[in-house]
Amino acid sequence: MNPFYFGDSENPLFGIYHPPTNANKKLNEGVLLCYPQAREYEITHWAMRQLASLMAKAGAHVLRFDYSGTGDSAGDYESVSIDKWKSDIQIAIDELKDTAWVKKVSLVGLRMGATLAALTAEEIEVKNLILWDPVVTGKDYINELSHVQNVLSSRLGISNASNGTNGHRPDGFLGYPSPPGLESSIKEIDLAKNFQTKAEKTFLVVSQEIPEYLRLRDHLTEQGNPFEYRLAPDNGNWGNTKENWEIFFAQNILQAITESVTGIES
Amino acid sequence: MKESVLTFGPQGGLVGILSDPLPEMRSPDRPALILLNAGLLNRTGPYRMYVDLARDMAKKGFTVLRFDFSGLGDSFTRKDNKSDEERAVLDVQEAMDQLTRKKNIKEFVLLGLCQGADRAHPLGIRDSRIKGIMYLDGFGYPTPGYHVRNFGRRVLHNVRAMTKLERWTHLIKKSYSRFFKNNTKKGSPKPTETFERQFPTAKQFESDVRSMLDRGASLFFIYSDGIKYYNYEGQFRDGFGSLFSNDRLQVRFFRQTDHLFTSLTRRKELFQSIGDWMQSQFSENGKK
Repeated sequence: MNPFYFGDSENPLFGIYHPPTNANKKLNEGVLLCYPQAREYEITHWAMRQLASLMAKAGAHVLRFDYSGTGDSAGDYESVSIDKWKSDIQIAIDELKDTAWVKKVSLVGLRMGATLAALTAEEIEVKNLILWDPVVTGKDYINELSHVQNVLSSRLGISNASNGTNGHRPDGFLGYPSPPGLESSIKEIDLAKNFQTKAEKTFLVVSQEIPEYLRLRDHLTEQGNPFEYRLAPDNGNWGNTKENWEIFFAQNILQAITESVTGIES
Repeated sequence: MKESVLTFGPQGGLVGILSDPLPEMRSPDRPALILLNAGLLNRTGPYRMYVDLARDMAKKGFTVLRFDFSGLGDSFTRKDNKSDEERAVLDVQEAMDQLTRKKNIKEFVLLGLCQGADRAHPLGIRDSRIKGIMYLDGFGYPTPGYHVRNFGRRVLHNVRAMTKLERWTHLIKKSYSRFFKNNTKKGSPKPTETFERQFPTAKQFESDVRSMLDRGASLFFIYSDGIKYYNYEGQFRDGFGSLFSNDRLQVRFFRQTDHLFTSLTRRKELFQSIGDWMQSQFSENGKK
């Protein structure tokens, strides 16, 4: 496991590279992990580390990294945007290719990370695209977060006011600054409507069957490109309204994803 | 301000991020600030609070390290039979050794939130390199004043709740349950934060704090309104008044905030308070 900074030296991105840990199983596969954002980043960090270790054990070269303005990467959350995060994913793909000497990279994303990976895979070619409990409809996602925010606001006495400019909230949104324009650009996303991938194969791996995942499954099936849907029942209660951080643990779904990417049962 | 990866400990298995001030802001005799994991969250802290704080403090001229304890975040897990507390002591001591080797910094201030504060406490007692500790919702002890206010709060809460229909429904159900069902919870102690976090006794705590102050350490206790065991500004002073003969002890109570300083406005005030305290205790002008 090698932690390092990469990309633009003025605004570097932080990543952790996991080389294959089993000498007999080197797959010449690069896998980039795309984290969810904000509160979900914090509670799933451990699970993403576990996933990286599992895939490295299965022979893959894995890089997990923080988008600009998140985690240990440079920048403030105040200035993040969907376009910036998509361009960060492309920088990370290039970095992984250089670091691991692999020609093609697969993307594995969780929640908003899956959505960002999907949006990136509309523009560039990747090997596999694995969408783990993706945010399918941006509007529903924001509504879900707003519900959590409302519950916490009344419980914790936090101002929930928006000043009306691009939905900016001076006292933050779920503990994070509310960057101008982010909320509205997330609301425009609907993967089950417009999404067309350039990935060689797309996997939708979900912890539970809910209508938005099924809508995306149907959309991807209609597209006619190589696609696989996997249900791996596991922890996936996103959008809970508990005020304390509960670290997210998963097992089934990590194995299902590892098998999807590497073709090897972990 | 510049950030870099710092790995240390056995096989470099402990992972941290170092925030260095610009060369013109550096001062060789300032202690480095080390931020300790809040519970099980990684080194970025809740709401990325530790990243923002580290950058803020580095801009003020302090070197800051935020790292993951062994077994958390990106750090390795120590394979030994030591307790979490003992491992935390080793981890921080290795962090300090590494900062001395790499940066020639020999004095340190620890900041911990919740369990992070609990981890800082034994280090402050054992290691004289630690010149200060900031306890965010660290140990706290009820006083008569606490109980009076707590009682008043509960009465007020219940009076307010009585105006709501669902509260009456709840009370009726609760009464029914008490009369007609075997209430197994009766008499059993409620789990408290004190119990879960294993606070030292008040007497032991007072003795620990006194010994740290006597050896010249500065201590800053910051309490939020979001914890159950602290509910008014003067609670610490009422409980341990004799410690205040030493001006290196400071206490601040943040009203109308939760345990994690979710409100950006309150968090800004917190950072201001931390920055002011660091400057007053450890900068050339403010050094005591």
